[in-house]
Amino acid sequence: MRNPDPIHEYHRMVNMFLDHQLNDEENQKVLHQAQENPEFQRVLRTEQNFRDLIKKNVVQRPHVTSRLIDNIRNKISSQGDGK
Amino acid sequence: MGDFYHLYPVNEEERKRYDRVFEKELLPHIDALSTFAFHLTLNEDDADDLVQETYLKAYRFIDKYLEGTNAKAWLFKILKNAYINEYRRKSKAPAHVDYEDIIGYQDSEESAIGEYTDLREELFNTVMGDEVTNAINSLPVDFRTVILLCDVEGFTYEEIAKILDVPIGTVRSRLFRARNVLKDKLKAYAETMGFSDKRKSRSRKLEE
Repeated sequence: MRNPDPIHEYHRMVNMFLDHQLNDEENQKVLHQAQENPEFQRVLRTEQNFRDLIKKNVVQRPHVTSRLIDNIRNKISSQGDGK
Repeated sequence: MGDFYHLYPVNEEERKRYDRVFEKELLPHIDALSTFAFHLTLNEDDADDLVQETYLKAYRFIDKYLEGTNAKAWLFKILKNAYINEYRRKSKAPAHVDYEDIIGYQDSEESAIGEYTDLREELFNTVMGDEVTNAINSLPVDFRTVILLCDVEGFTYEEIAKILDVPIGTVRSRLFRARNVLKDKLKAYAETMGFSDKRKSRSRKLEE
């Protein structure tokens, strides 16, 4: 059952907005609602910060070693030769 | 690896074209695949094996790949399938998914329109980078996967749906729940570091 709470509905839209799932008109509506309502503005800002926190802090592995790449190429090459 | 052959015989010209596509369109995504593989397997060696297996499979089926299309999504789908088929099944200690901890976990779109976890902005100053990674890695693998694909790799819902073979509504609801579980974990961590959410007591005072 849908929750009628406008904050919940706005939060749902913010998720879609930040995930680039809305069209231009819907994007504008999300931004306009944030300008008009401080509580909505807080929801948008907090969700944006949360996404930034994930992006900035998830451990990225260092560049793959040339050894692994060479292994892949060699296996492809040797299997191909065996055909 | 003994079964590594194209599905049909290839001539030299085709072979050269496949090699060119492999080098130009597939190999450039190896770092992203490596990070994804690591967050799935939580082990450096297993991650490298998974990446290697992904590329060998990709090359084997390279005739199915349409040059100039979405190589990254195609590779992620192969990697995800390889992980499910080989590593999850063979693992002696499969990823622990304690669904009891995930209240109301369902994959229906409608169920995503429920309560959400809100965070105070101050919390973001409390949480350290390692703790974010630890919190993500402690998520059930289905949740971890959508967070990595969407928030880290920037795939669209449609691409994620194709990679995972699930409806877009499931992607949306899974993301919603995954982020809530992640927020709860980060909040719990922040509380252990001295952060307290004063909103409830403040709102109670306002009501009085």
